[in-house]
Amino acid sequence: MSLFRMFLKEQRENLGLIWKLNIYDYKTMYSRQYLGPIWIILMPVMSALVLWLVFGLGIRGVREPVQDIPFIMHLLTGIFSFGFISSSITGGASAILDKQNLMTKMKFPASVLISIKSLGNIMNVTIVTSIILIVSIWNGYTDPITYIGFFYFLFATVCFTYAIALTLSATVVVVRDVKNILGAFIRLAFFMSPVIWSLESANPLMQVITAYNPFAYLIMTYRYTFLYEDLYIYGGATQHIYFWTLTIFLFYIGLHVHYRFRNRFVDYMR
Amino acid sequence: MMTYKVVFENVTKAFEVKNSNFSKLKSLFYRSKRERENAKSFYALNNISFVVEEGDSVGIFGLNGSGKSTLLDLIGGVTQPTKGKITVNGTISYVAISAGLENDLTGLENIRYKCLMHGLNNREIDELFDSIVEYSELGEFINQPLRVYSSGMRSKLGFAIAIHMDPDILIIDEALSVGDKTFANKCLESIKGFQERGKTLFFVSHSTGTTAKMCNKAIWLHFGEMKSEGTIEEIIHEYESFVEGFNQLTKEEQVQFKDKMMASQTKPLLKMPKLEAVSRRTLLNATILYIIFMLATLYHTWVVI
Repeated sequence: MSLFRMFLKEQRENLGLIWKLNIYDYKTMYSRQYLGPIWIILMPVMSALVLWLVFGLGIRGVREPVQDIPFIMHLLTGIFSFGFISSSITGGASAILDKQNLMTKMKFPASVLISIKSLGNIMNVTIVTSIILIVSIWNGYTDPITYIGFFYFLFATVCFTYAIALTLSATVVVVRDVKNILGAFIRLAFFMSPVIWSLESANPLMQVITAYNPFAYLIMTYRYTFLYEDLYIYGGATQHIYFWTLTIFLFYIGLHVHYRFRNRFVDYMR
Repeated sequence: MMTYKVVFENVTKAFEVKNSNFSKLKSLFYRSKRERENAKSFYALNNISFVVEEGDSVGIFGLNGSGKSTLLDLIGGVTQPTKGKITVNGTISYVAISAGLENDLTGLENIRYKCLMHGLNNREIDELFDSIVEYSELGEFINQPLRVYSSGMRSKLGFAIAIHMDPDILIIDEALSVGDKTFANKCLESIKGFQERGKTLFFVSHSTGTTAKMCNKAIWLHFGEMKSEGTIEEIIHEYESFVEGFNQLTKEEQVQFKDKMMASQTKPLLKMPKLEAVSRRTLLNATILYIIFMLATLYHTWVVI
């Protein structure tokens, strides 16, 4: 518990800094690109288009609407939510290593770097989600009150990915190879989660696995928020309890790993 | 009453010496008893103790690889000592060439960025901003991204920002050797003003002349050991006579001497103490608890199916 308090104190003290440095991160990232921040929307839309061309347009058989929602919306919500999760994990994992230049020259709390990445990703997904929101309102897919679920989705995803990022960011500094494995793992998670395929059309074994797949939990929460008519959020009590105990456990490990190596990060970077 | 600005108490900084990548990876998880006994550390700094009073300017001397930069990193709080205690009272600004500047941001953005890092708020930055721009003498280049800067321009910008932070302790590491003469003189003037306000300065330069002008005290590091400390005159005298003697040796003897000294810095393994809250035991307990919970969930699913 004392580790968690230490962690919270650090975040609270640096709240203003996290916000401002996040803006500088944007500036650095887009300073050499002509379209600049438009890419925040363009990139996920492009990858969704590619997948739609391959899976939606009949190259591999025409896709039926999922729960009366057109397949393209099913795909878009999947890509956007999964994109948020995966970029939170990969971004968070490299958060400390990417700022080597800073860490080796200034005294700076490393956990703040993960928060900066996390905040940037929250802003990106919020911008992208506005597309889904407009389409959803336009077509009246769901009762507007379910849109509150988006905040639950954000909170749950940030907690879950932050927990993983805490562990990974420290691990990547000490053992760089982990970064290579991470890419393969994310790709596996992409195909194991109902991003392209839908739960109804999956075979029974896959449905059981999906019930315990935290990625699927998050993606489906996002879909239920914007697409499906049910007022309730995705999943039963078992899934909620499973997801949150997993998150708390991962966070616990993350804090331990982070604080175990935190005084030696710079030594490992040299 | 004089207050101590920087206190080093028996500070040691050691880096573990490892042979192969595999043994490096393995040692993170497990080390046999024999491996533990054979493990070695390189003592970059060994048992250093000194105090620096307010208003002192300390020059640090030493051959290459004697631990000067390691010492500055420790004062700056960038790295933590393996053993011993460091107390620093006051804010610190570290000037190394282009320290912590972003290549893709313009000069102007970099000024704001670096000021933020030093914990200034927007109003304070606005107040300092014009003065920093003027001091850096970059002219039109201030609107260009940093990647087009020459190394001299970078160090100008870095120094301009650092001196305007008005820290209690300023650390300068070879930064002035890059700028041209006129800018170097301007820097020296600013540093003089800084000293007159009773602030503390750490200075590393290979030019004993500049150091003698800037500092009133000195520390001589010799392959991780503190050879001597005292007033600048004493130390410069000692150090220069040593360097003279060293230079009279033949090339081979010099290499041999360095090798011998380096070998003496390799000693039994020294590890950093862990945070009290981080314990392997509680982590293990939590993991076991969680695995039991997981098995229960799986069993539950099994029954439902």
